[in-house]
Amino acid sequence: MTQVRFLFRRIAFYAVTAWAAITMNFLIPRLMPGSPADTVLSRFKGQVSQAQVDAVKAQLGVSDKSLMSQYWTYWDNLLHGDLGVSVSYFPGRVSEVIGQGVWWTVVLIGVATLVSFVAGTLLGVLAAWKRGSRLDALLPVTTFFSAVPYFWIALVSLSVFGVELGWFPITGGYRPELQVGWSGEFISSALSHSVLPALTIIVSSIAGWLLGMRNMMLTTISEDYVLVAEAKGLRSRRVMLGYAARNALLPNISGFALSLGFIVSGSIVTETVFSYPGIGFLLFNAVLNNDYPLMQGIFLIITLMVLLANLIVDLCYVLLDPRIRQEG
Amino acid sequence: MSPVASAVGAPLLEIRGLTVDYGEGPGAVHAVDNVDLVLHRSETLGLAGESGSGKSTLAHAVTRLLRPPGTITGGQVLYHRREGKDAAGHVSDGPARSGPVNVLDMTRPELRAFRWEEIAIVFQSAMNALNPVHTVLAQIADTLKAHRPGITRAECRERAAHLLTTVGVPAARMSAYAHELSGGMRQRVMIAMALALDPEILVLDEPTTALDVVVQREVLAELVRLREEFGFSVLFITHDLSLLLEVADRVAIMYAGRVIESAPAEEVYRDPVHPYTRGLVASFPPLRGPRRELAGIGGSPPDLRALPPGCAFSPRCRHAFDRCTRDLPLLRRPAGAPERLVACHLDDPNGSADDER
Ligand SMILES: Nc1ncnc2c1ncn2[C@@H]1O[C@H](COP(=O)(O)OP(=O)(O)OP(=O)(O)O)[C@@H](O)[C@H]1O
Ligand SMILES: [Mg+2]
Repeated sequence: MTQVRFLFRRIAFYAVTAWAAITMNFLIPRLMPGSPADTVLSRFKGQVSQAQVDAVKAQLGVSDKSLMSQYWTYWDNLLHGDLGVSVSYFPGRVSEVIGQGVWWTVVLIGVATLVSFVAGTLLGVLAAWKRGSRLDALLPVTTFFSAVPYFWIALVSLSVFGVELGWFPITGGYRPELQVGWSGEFISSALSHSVLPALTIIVSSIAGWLLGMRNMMLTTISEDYVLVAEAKGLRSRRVMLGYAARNALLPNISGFALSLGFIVSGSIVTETVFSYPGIGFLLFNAVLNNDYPLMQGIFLIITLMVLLANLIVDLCYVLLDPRIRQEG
Repeated sequence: MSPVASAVGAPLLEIRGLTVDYGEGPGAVHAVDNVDLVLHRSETLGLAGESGSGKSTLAHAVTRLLRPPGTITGGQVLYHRREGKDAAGHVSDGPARSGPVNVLDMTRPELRAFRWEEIAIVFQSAMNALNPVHTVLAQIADTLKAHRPGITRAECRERAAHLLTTVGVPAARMSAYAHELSGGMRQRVMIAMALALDPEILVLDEPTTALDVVVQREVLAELVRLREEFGFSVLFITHDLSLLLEVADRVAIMYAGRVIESAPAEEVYRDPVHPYTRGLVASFPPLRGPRRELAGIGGSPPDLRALPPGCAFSPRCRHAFDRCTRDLPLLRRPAGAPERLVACHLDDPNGSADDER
């Protein structure tokens, strides 16, 4: 059927994109002058024996073999979840370092982005439906917060709610003396640490969703099918959601797919300001320390997550828009 | 729609002094101005006039579907409910309520119950009248569910299948989306949807304008047949007077937001009185009878923001005399034509403007 064909084509497209990204990830550091091993070794300022050099090279996956055989080894390692050894966390493995950080980011920034999208979209629907009412006050207020640079919001909220009022912890993802796990104490600590970073993300991004949805709603509200829905004597809520908002949602979903791509990269500022132990914070440290293997691993994870997010949004789109299924 | 079916009954919908403005103050567009119109039971009333004469505005105002900046600034829309039907349109056992209801005074719940149950509309641009993300069935079903709480899915399905076959669309198309249907099909689906609750009145706002001539004919024939089958009354809006003379029992002509002539379709065609109507009738080839010379109407429609004093048509009227640019002609019944109303100073026996309606 057309839907299934469409889906297969999308999945094939993402598979090819993922392959290209992974290959680039392999090629770029190898085409650059110098090698990660040199970076590590340069920190020891030449006070290393040849045996140590070989050991470091072996751990970082640098060899003198042909590019092709290196490529196969790279894939083999990748499929075993082996991304090499981190320089700054030496001799910690990149996959472990990322594995510890990625969940903080996915949960914090992912949930904050989702909440912002859902709340902004719903408010946009209401703002359009009840235009001229007091809800119009939402527009300038939210626009103000989206116009202010994000780091400024983050710093101000940190100093006001964290330092001055002391309502929320100012650094980290949880109280350091706690064990990471499913204990109630840990979870409540993690939650209170996440409030400020999450709120700053929501406050600074909600206006985009709200305005986008409101404008699309204003367009669909003037469509004939909305007039017909009213003429049919449907309840106002049904007309608003099932007819106007349902159609206005489609372009906003594409915007959401794009924004998912910025989750991880956008997390750098958030996590740096709040010293949050996520991927952005790791990337920041990796850059400071010239930790190429870690950077490479993080870029790979970012790429794959963006592709996965887009695939999921594509699936939603297929379910939501019957016209897509046909054009394929 | 055919002479056979013109066993016209009592008034069903009475529009009295309806006035609609777009905007306020000096810049307001007076799109409908003091219109009186009566639709009788089982009647097909045609409403014709140039583009911009206020036909759609009138239809929207009657069903209270006007959108800002459109506002109803005066008048009444009286609906004479069928004996024994209560406000929600359901047949009740209690004593029949007497007297008509004013649609313009209805509360929101009353209005919701009234819409589609009593008056269904097929809009001018049916191409976009179907929600692109729901199937035909879903859109018929939500109408049924809104007005018949407790109806089952199977019943909705059955009703949808019946309605679609009635308008000549295969029942299997109920699971189609709008983009999978041709223009003619969409229009038929809209008509099927309009009939879902067996309404008393069907408002057709240029139902065939977007279709090609062949499909136009088919849809019209279908409408004529359906009217005979279901017995609803029709308000048929179009700028194509020749079409109306075929399908309508009575025709009202609008010019610049006012009704300027109304008469049985036959009489309008045979003996138009108002110079504007005469111009309209002369501007299309006769359907039967001898050929005659075609003539358009010179000039262009007036600016509704600043109508000329007196008769709005006077600047374009070859017969205009001084009184036409001074007094607004009101609808009156010319001598010897009991079925006809004209708003024109020509042949007016009274020297002064009279109030007789
Ligand atoms: N939303 C609006 N705002 C301002 N003026 C409007 C609006 N809608 C319609 N009008 C004006 O009201 C007048 C009547 O419009 P209407 O759509 O009722 O005409 P119509 O007779 O249905 O024309 P057509 O044959 O083109 O459908 C026109 O002069 C139009 O310019
Ligand atoms: Mg119109």
